[in-house]
Amino acid sequence: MKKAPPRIREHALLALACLFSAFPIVFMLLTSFKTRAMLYEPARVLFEPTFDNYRAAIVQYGLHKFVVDSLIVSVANVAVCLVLGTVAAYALHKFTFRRKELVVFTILSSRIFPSIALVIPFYIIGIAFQLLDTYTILVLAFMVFNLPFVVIMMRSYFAAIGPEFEEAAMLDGCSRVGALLRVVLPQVKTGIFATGTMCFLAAWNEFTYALFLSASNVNMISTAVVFFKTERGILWGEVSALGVVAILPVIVLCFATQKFLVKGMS
Amino acid sequence: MVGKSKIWFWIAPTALPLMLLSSVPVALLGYISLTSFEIGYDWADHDFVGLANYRRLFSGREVEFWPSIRLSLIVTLVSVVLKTGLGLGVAVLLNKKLRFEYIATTLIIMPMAVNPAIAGLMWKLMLSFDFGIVNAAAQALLGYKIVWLGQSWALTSVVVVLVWMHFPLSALMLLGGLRNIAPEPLEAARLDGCSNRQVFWLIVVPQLWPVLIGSSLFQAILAFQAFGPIYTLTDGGPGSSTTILPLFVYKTAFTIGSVGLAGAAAIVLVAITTALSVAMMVIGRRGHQG
Repeated sequence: MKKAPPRIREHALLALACLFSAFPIVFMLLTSFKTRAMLYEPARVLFEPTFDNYRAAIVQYGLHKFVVDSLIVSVANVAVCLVLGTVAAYALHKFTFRRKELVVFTILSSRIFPSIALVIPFYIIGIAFQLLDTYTILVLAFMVFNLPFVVIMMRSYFAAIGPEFEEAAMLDGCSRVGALLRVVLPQVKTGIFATGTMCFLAAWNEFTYALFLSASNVNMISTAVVFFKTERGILWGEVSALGVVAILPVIVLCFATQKFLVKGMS
Repeated sequence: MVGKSKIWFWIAPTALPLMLLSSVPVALLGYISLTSFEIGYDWADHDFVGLANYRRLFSGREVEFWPSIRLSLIVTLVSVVLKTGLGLGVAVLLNKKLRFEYIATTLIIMPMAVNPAIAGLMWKLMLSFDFGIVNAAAQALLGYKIVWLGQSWALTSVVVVLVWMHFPLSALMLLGGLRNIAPEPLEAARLDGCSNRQVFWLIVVPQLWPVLIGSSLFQAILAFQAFGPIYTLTDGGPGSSTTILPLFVYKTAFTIGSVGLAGAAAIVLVAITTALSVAMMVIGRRGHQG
């Protein structure tokens, strides 16, 4: 048998692509442990790490408050979207009716609307109903992109399971709601989990709505970076610390749920 | 068969709020674009002005509007070509069963985890004139530094950041497409004496075409509505050299405060992205049939 060639060129190119992808994140991680003076030596990798940036981000800027606000908005949004979206997906999967395609298209199309355009009507709604700078307006606005996503995903999960169990349950006297709760939903558990995870990440990282619809009362971590500016410039150490805290849960969550995510996607 | 009333029992409480949520904001945006509403006033005080905002935009009196469309087109076109090219290259490499494939995939998709504002700031730090790592490298290799966020290079920097953020998505989509291609015709072509290059361009690429078009259109939608990274990287500057359409909308609405006028520009933005997504759906459907 012929020995496989080592394919050095391919490995080198792939390594280059990895470097391009990961370098900015590694660089930010390094910067978050540097003192302000060390910023002028960007290429320095070996140095005594300082935790001052993290301390300043928490004590002076209330980093923990940003994290809590992000969690409240994201979790509430995911909960609402999962409940509404799953039931809607089930209804759209089970029943046919006139103009169904139009209904589906209308629902899905809102997902690709540019947030910078839709933030304007949400801003007006916020003014009119005095909802600006509240959790409510952010949870509502995030539904624009997360709810259609739940519908798309859950529809495909429902399509993947056969109708037999459900029909058997209904023959045994289960109502359709009962069949949905007891028979159908347990079969798409991983799907719900994967969808919820991706919704959470989208909400956690959302920037445009959070920037213009909140001010001092609600501050998500995604927009908090904007405050780290003084007249002398951007506080790079603190910004990097905040960036690390913002990215960390995403990476941890991706690793922890990778098995489910891959299963859910295929 | 299920009765009609029963269907509406299911559809009404679920699909209806969804439809409201997706159509009411757009309808409201459409109405706002016909008013003279400005920030700082009560919503009740707005005047209905008909198409005046659109006339003002298209007449060129809003000096940044047409340039913002031109910049959006440039950024979209260049970044989509780069994202798709880089994504295709990475997808081909990942499909070769190289060593460390798993760790490489993980590293490559990392940009997808970063929120847009922080992505912009990270690159702003790396591209900084005085203490950026990119200029440290430029100094060492070229012997001089470049003002990356200055007038002549800012647009290039914006494209680089967008490519960095979004190319992993293209790579994943194209990798999925590559894995769906049956291996037998490729083997047969190789046995018939085709070179690897010929196999790739004559057999793989044509089969990958629907995925290539789909991912490119999706990337075009993403590039056309990019806001967060540019907001933190250049804020549309210097001057208005990186004010693409979303940045124009934001400046007009929230810096100048002319919400009505910004609404009209936002409707233009919605129209363009909707056209792109309809194209994507039509091509996607044709791909399924073909």
